[in-house]
Amino acid sequence: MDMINASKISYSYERIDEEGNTTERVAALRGVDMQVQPGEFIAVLGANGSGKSTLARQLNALIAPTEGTLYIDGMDTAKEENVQNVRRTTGMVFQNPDNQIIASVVEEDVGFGPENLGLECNTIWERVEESLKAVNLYAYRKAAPGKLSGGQKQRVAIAGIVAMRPKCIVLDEPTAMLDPKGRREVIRTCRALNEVEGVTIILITHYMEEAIYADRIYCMDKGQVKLCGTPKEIFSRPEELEAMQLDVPQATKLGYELKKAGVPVPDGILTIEELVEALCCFH
Amino acid sequence: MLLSLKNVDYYYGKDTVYEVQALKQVSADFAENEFVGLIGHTGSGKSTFLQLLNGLEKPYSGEVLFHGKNIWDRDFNRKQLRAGVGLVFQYPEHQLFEADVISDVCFGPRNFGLSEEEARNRALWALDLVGLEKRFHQSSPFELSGGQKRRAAIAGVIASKPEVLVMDEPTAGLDPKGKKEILDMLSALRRQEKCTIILVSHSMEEVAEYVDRIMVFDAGSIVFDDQKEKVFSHIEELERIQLAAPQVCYILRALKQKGFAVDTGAITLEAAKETILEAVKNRSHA
Repeated sequence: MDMINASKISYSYERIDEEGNTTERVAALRGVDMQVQPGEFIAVLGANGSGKSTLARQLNALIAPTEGTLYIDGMDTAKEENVQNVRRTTGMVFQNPDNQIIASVVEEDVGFGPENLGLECNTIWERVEESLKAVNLYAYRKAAPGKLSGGQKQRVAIAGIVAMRPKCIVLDEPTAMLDPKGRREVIRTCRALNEVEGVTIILITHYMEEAIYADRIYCMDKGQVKLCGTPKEIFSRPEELEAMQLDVPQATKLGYELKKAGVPVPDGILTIEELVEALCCFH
Repeated sequence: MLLSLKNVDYYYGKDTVYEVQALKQVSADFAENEFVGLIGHTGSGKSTFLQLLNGLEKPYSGEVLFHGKNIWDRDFNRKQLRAGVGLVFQYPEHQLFEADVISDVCFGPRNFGLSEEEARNRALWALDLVGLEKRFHQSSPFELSGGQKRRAAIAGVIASKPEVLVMDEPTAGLDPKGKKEILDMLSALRRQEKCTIILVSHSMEEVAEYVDRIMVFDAGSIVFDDQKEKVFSHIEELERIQLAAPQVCYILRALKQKGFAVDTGAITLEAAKETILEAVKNRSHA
């Protein structure tokens, strides 16, 4: 069964002025198709306002499509009775770590989710230990979240989700407010959860370098999926990406520029190593 | 010198058990019309440094000089300093508060003593500079997109025509196009107004592309303060303090090791492309 199966989903909302009249109808998603298999690592790219976050909220049943159907692990998110289970299936991590942490001790924060699932006390503690180890923060279990760095806080937030053992985790720009070190920590955590635990990851990001680890990339523009493919396929089309206000990693851009200047370099270079190897090969 | 710090020490929680020395004997000079990048990992003292520049924090010891005058002298007009040194915080859009964009941008100049009309003209000028079209001027700041809000907030500081514009991570959280717009706008502002810009950034590629000089912070000290090319030639030292050089530096370095005659001093995409093309051409002839 598909982890995520969205067919032609649209979502629009009304803007209402002070007198309560509808001023305009904003279409945030317009006919989005998305099929994700269990265990895939998906990156979603798109400019501000392209509908990425609206899509993320759909996956967690925070909102339901106004048109089309969305099945999460076989459950239709538009059906009220499925909402609870959909939310247990897909956990969500937001941009600002400070808005997601509620307890004053790390391990209590991580335990909040499993506690709300009504688990046994012992099971909760097992889950807390296990998820803090998964994000490599076990040594900080007694720390106050406020004293942690941004990257560490974001990993606490991820641990809180992991403790509920969702099959899928949706991360909505989890690295936007972090420094380069914090960003690396969070991305490493996502990849480990995906590779070791087999959790399906949907990573929404503005950083092209973070998307190169994904199995597939979805590029969104004006509420639609404009491109979908492996990182290699996607980053072979820098001009189309630019038209969507996106970018490519610097190594990719350099490879592309060199190719335009007549140096035989293959399309869709993703890393420094690939580019260096390609240049060595031909010369 | 336009703005300088001399042997500044700064502590948080001085004489308590939480005492932390945030800056240690820091000295720096900023001349007119410079574009300086500040890099350093979280907690290295960058933000404290910024707040000392316009007198939001007072040094424990040492001096901060604006046009050669100590800003903490009794007769120094610090209000004038704050008009002269504009500080744009991280996520400045969180500070928007007025009912419409133009009033928000007018707030600064009006508080620095300009008449209503002058303040309005300044606001229009600043909004034009940041590229917020007329149709947004009467909108509530909260109806704008993230990138537009950011630009409205920056306009609010630019409207006071500061001689030094200090920006704390102005591109954080924006999409690639939004980032480029902000940085291009800063370059244009520097060209037109001849002001000095101090930019804090976590993106080495961004700094390599736009600024002239880079200051590197680590554990409360400035470890490098030099031309950007020179700073990025210290890749190992930068990595030791959890920073990095732009990706192209690593590419050029690896190519050099493989025997390509590239100039490893190139730090921008354009320069890297030139030197690689040159090296490839020479190699094919050989």
